[in-house]
Amino acid sequence: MKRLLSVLLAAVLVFSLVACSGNNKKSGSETDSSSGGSIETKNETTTTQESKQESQEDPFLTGEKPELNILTFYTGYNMEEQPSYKVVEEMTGYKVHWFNLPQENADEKLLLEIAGGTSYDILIRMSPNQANQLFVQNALLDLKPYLEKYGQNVYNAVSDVAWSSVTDQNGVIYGIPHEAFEGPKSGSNYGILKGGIGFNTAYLEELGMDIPKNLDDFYNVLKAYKEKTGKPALTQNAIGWNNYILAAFGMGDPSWYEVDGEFVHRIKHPGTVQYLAFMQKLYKEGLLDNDFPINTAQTAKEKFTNGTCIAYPLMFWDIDGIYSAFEAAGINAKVKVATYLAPDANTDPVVYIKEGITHVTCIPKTSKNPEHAMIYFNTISDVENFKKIYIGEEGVSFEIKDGNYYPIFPAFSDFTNADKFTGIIPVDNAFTMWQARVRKTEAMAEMYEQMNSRVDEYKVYHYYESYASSLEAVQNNQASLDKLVNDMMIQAIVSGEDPQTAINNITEEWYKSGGTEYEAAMQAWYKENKDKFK
Amino acid sequence: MKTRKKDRVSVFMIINVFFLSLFGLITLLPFMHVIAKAFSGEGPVIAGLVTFWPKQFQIDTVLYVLKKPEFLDSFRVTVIVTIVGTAIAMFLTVTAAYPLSKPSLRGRKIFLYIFVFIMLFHAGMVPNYLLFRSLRLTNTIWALIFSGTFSVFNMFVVKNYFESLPDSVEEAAKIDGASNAYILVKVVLPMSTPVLATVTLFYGVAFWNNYMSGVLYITDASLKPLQQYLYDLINEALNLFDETGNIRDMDKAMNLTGESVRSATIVVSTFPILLLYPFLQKYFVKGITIGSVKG
Repeated sequence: MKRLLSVLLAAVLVFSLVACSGNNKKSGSETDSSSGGSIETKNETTTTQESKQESQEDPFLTGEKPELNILTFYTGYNMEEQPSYKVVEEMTGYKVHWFNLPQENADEKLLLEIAGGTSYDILIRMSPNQANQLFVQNALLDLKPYLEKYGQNVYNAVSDVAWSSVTDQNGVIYGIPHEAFEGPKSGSNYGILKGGIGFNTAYLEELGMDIPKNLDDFYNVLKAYKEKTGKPALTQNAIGWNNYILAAFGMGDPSWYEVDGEFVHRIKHPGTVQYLAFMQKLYKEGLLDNDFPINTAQTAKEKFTNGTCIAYPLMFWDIDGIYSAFEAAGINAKVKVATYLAPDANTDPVVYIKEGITHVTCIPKTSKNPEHAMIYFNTISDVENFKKIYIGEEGVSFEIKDGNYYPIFPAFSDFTNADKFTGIIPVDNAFTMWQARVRKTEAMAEMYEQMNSRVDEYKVYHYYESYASSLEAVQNNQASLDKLVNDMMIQAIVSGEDPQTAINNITEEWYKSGGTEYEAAMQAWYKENKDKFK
Repeated sequence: MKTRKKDRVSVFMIINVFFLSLFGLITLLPFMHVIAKAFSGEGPVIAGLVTFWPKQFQIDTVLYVLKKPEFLDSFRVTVIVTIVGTAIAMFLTVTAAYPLSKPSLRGRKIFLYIFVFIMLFHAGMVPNYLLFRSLRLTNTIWALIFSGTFSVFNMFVVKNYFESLPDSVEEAAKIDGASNAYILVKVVLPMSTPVLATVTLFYGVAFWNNYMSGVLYITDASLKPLQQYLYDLINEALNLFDETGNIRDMDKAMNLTGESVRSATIVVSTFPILLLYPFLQKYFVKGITIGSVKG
């Protein structure tokens, strides 16, 4: 018995040793997987893809392709199970092992992984904060040499302003910026409106009123509904800023505005006091759902879809869910949307298009295959390749009618998560292609069309504040200050206190909690960069 | 004939039963709501029309969840981790507890102090991560297993139980020439089924519910434990807007999983443990007091 037990014990210990060392995947293990591959074809004279060098053979381009370990941000699905995975593998010739950061505490996890020595060949789609933190810790490679040799598509895709925000004072480029494509940089503005305050058309008809376009009409519709039914007219999430209403007071989505030559945060904008007064009025008169501070996105939507409220801020993709909910609740209605409101009937409404950096791709110093990583990224940043990954082939998964992209089902369902597999291309192209996703269902397409039917009435401004997001003062303060302001705004709306006093209090708290530093950094950045923005 | 006091149904008893049933029901209701949403159509769920009974009953959502590769991967990982982990944990716990329950062990006090010290003081997440990293266990299933294979508290529970066993049986076995290992396996363990069942349950539930190890040691999506998968799924919906009224990530918002899919995932994930509990219930109740010192 004793011997049996000791043999068992020994077996278990040996087994655990063996099990530890053999596994499907190794991220950053100490195995020396050959980086660069074998230089077999040195004597052949085949031309390389990158013709920057003269006829010199580049082993990285023609040699064996190693397996790449790529870390990316959180996705709710397994990258390797997506149809796009195979597409990219065929296209680039590289086998990729994908790894994800967790949804929460991603910054800490990233730093832990990199500091702990785990080797990833490239970090794709990190947040600007994360990339900056890594750079400050001296964990990133200077990408300039790699870009010059292998990154031609990448150079073409990124604007000068974006490059400047990932370059330090010594000319070191530490990341490749992914720019936002929420609207075209030039040409027709069709498609920039993606959300608004949705109204139940059946109720609108009963009231005999039309969809409001400016603040006064908006107020009148809400008031009429409340008087007729006694129920709250507008419901929304627990956020103090309703940007569609804010638009009527000279603002909109951005947080920073130029007022009298000075670059200020929205709480210091003169329109904010009036906005607060208006929201307080809505709240006091019961036009705004008095429970909104405790609403979640779900509960707010419920109040709209079960017929309690007439109005609810929504985005075009919410529409399918809302229509099926209407059906379940026995409501025979459609939705008409009031996009950003104008101040009054005689003034044009305004919309702001965001330009900025959403993500940064970088290569850590612990990367085993930086050249291959850059070649990989450059390949998926070629415009034709991008198209193939993002929306597939014309006539198979998408078609173009009047210059607009339309999806073809069922082939297009393979491309739901394709955007995470792409590189980067010039923003304008990406925006038009993205619209294929908008037209996934009839209801979504109709809603998008409806929202943009009046887009020519809008004055369009572009805003660039997110290019400043890699500044240290912004990283340290923005999230906590935004939360502080939001909480205090909600409180002010509910309490109904004098709006000027409330805003003064909020501003004072804002300065005390890091706003001074934040403002100084943003103002310096704006002064330095404002001429670069067209 | 006088009814004995304890047979009489008193008013107090009725009120007691009533209120306790009420509390029991209240804790059950939210779960019934989630189950109802899992089997309802998307429309009624969004409109908030589902209370405790499904509307537009359908099982497609549950089937969809059961076929999702990410869910199956996470489920498989957690099942393997739970079974293997519990087996290893029980082995380590019992083999640690038995010698420590013998007063004749040399240096027993020192070992006990060491174990108590470990129980009270932890190195923290970063040193643990670095340890696993240097052992090349990060991004492997062993990271999920080893991070929970020994609980000093459970070891003490088992040790105290062993101490409460009568010496005579073991002495009798020793006289017959049995070795320590033989006594442990053939004599002591059969007498200890209550504590073994309890501690197995403690470990099993701890492994099943483990979320933090996944966040800390794993970046490979196919090794994500079930609880992390569930948490991520539910959290996606809560983080849509930032505090300036703008959408954080448009593509993510466009592809958000529906409410009924989330509910279905919760139901399917809780089902196995729910099935297991009634069988192990009696051990659980007994086990809470089993490690206590007898007067």
